[in-house]
Amino acid sequence: MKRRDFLVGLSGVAVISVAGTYFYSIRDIDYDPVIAEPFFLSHIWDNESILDAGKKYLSDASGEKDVQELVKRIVKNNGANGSESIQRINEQIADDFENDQTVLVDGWILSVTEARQCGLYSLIQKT
Amino acid sequence: MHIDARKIPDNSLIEGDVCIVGAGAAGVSIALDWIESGYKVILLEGGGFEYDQKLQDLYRGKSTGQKYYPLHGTRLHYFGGTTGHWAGMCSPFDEIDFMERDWVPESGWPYSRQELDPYYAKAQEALKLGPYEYDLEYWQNKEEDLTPFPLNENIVYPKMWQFSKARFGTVYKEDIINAKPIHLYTHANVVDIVADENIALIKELKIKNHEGKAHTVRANQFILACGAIQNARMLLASNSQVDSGLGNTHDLVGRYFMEHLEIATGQLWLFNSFSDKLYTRWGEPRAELAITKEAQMEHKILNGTLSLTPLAIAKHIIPRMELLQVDDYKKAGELFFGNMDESEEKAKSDNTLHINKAYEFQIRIEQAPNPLSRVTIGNDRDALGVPRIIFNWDLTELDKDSIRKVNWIVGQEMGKANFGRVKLEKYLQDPDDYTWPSGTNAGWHHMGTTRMHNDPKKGVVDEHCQVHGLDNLYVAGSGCYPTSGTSNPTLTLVALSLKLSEHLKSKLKDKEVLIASS
Repeated sequence: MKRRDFLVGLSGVAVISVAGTYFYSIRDIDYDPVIAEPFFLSHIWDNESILDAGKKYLSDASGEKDVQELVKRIVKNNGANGSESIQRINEQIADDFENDQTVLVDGWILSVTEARQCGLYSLIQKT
Repeated sequence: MHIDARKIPDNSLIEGDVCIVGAGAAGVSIALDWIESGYKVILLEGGGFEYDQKLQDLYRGKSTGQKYYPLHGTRLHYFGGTTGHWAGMCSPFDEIDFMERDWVPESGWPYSRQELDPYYAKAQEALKLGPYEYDLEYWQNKEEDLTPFPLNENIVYPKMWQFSKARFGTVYKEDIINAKPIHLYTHANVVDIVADENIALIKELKIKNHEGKAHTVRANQFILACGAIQNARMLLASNSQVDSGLGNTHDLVGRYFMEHLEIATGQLWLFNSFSDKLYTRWGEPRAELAITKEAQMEHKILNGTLSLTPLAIAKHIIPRMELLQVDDYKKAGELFFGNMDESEEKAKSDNTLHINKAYEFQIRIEQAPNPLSRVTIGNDRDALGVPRIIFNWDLTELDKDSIRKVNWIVGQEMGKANFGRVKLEKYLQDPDDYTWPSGTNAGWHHMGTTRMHNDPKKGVVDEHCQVHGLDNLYVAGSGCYPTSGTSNPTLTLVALSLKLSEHLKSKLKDKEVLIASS
């Protein structure tokens, strides 16, 4: 399953691209790179804004500086593969807001999960 | 009946049953309510029927606190008062505004919103508004496409406003002039309030004008209705019998001045296009995002609402606190609307990605009652010899915390609904930052200064707006508000004035019965 472009089907939505592989494998964790794509934020932000937010989140979040750690925190125990994970992550984002799991990133009130997605996205772009 | 006080013989004695000082929204509403009463009403207006810079100058003063507009510009000194330049936004105060809240110092009115409801309904008529209906459902039944954001209404709900186009100076001029029991005196500026020797009753008022004429006004009952700042000034400046001024035994006159903070607080970016008519139109019933009573109680915040302006326009709007630092306030309208037109024009060429789904939040929030936020009098005097005011607008940490939390709550609700995201303005991002940005606007809404409380140690006036200790002196208007709510003040001040009016009629009738039976 190639996840090069995301959200292509949504008109007027920013298109960002992650590396063109089927799955990423970093150390002992396999994950679908789509989890680095903040679905909701891509409706209002372009690539650069997501990168910026990711960098800012990482600079403030201690212990979340590497891909492995971020992937673990984003997917939790839900598994990292397949399109189902996207749905689960989106639900998790709403749950974050419900449970005060929010962070301020450059003034934006974000779910911690989507902030981590931005962080992961910025790290992937570096690799 | 209209009499120009400049044209009657010097040192005239003017007498009536009731004397109302000030012909703005409060004073005119009360006067209209007395047309059929059978009593003779003296209505004193310091100005004439038109804007006059010389008269506006009487309102000049010195500001010492938080940056404020020139004091002579925020109020209009002629018949019709400040309705001559108001925006007309009306909404009743909320139930919570009347409640004692343990996190809001000195909060709590002597009565509930319910008690004011009948007067709100009458005030709607005085202000030429629609029916006394502020539920969204009512307006949705009359008009399609008034769709609120899909948020949890137990936390964030659409609070409705109606718009009044009533400028009292034009709408009620003929009614007042043609009413035989109403004796309107223009160019009649009160310069002193004189009490009897026991300081228990007001005996007379001294009035003056720029033509050098001085007159005396005697009545059974007196109502000060000159606006929150001027009412306090009059009481403080009437200090020939009591050093601290009239009604000021407990050093409360002038204190607890409140404004509505109206500041850009953040941005809302929606994920998808949404019909925003309910929130963005002007001049017809519309909504702002409000925080429910329960959520305010949970978060211990002040009452505030967020209005929405398309971001493409809002980002070019100059904050009013910067734009309207002008001497001649006739130019204020030109400047304000000029800036709006220019902003709308610039917005047309804005190609920022998704800008059509973005809005600026502007909060309107009550100010926490604060004794240091106050009006005093100084040594400078105006052209008629009345001490000018020193004005100290003072804000508190609760004000800023509440602004931050209101935006945060709305941001969270947008997130829960996955409907959009909110970005806070820089000055709200650090919870330990209690500074205020240069664009900290106020609404030209003057409240407090003669606050209402049944305990004379806690309020200048009682629940009937009678000045404690002075049996025949009343204060009408927003100066009596113990707390300032999130709604624009005029509808409530007219309602409160009509309540006062009814009380006074009943008081006079009772006195007549007493005299007849003795």
